Amino acid sequence: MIIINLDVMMAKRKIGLAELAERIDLTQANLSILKNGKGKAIRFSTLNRLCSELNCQPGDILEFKEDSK
Amino acid sequence: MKEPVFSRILKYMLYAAFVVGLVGAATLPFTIDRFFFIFRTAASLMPGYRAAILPFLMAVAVPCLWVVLEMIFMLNTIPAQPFVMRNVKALYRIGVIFFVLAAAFFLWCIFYYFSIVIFAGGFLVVGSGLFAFTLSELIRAAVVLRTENELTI
Repeated sequence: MIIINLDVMMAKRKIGLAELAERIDLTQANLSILKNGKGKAIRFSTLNRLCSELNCQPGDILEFKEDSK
Repeated sequence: MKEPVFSRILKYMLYAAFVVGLVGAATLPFTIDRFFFIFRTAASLMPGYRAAILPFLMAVAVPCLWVVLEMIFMLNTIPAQPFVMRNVKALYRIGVIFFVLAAAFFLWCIFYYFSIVIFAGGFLVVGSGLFAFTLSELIRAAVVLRTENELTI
């Protein structure tokens, strides 16, 4: 399963949800869906903008964890 | 989403069908003698025909009106969001209604009077029911896709 570590990166860069949403041209609601791991998929363009604003790699935001069976 | 012209025309046709159907069903006991020559002929040849046909027609009219009403409600969702679970369930209900109607047609043929038209009509209604079930599953898949699309950030 893919884990979204967006909140970790946002804390590291000391940026709030509203500010990040405005910078990457996304609504707060959609960014919140992403941050809380409720999204089903992420577009490359969104990932591109996030990495650009947070100055990080996709691997810093996305993490793979084995599903516990 | 802007409502397509054909959709609007279809909606008005359905409103008209519902009103005409409702008035027709309500006045059937009073109009059937006066306006339907075939009915008068059949009633004169078969004793008890009037007592059987009127409840049968009323029993068929109510589900048909329900189907028209469901179609109106579904069309009203088109401008905003047509791919919703409400429409999936509505199509499923329409399918069930068609199967119930088909059963009524076949029972009429088996237990009262075998009419080839009603018997064949029963199969047509079964086909309509299967079509409604198929559409229901199609819209269900569309709802799943829409939800997934909405959660693609």
